[in-house]
Amino acid sequence: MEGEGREAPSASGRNWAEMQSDVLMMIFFKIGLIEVLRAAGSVCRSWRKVAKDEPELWRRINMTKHGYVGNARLLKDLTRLAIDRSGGLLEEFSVQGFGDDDLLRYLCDRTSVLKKLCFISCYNFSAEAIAETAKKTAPT
Amino acid sequence: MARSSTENMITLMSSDGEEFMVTEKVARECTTIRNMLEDDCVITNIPLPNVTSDILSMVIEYCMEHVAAAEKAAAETAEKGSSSAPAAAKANKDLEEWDKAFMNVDVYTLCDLILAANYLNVSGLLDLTIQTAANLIKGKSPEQIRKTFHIQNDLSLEEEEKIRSQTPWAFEKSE
Repeated sequence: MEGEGREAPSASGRNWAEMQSDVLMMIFFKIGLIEVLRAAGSVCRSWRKVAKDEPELWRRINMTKHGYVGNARLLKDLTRLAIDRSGGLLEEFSVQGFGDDDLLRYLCDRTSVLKKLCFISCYNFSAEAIAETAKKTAPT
Repeated sequence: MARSSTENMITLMSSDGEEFMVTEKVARECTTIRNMLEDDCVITNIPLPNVTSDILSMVIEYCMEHVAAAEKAAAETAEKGSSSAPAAAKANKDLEEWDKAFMNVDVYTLCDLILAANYLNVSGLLDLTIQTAANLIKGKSPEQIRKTFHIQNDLSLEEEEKIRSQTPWAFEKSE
């Protein structure tokens, strides 16, 4: 496993740095966006390009199940970066256990197509900010 | 593998010119081939210029195993009138074990298998290989991922600086 004992690329000459972007996207969806931001998106130029320039990848941002990141400030930074990468196409946003009004405002200033917003164990949002978000993102 | 003599056989030809005779049922596990067969039902010889013989033989091995498992399950259901839950659970578990053993390959083979599964549209194999790749990435630092997949770091200093400022933890060595 892990390519030990085989130095040359595959017989077909393919290698992981040149992996097709549609395949990389499937892998990125599978590992989760936190892992893309945390590591996979910084591996090499082609992986970074897919992580950065494919808004499709960031259409649904799920910031739950992040127990191993553990740091709320870091999670907020990651979430902002994820929102930036969605290029205005963010449709679904789920967050668990962190976030505040600032984050919510950041979110609704950057998407006009939001369809689903999900908060799990989030205690730092004010009712005003949630109402404002609902109003701003409501379908016209 | 038992097969009836009336079953249609299809010849698949790899990029390096090797021919593989398979039953139509096995070939139809590849959605790309299934679509070709549905468009033209007399086709018996299919060239696959994107798949080498070593990878094609693995894809066929996977399809044969999964067809055989499905046939066995169907036969058992027919025999007993209804499928027995414990037997079906065991069969599923056996197939999962088989898949797991099948994925004991180096990363280059994994790369080729993913591309072949994607091109031939074998959804089970694509899921399996993508999941295997994902498991190799999860929890690793960028440097560990490069090492695992034999990828050169070709990011420019400017890009690295930008990543460092946006995601400072990404460059921490976790070893």
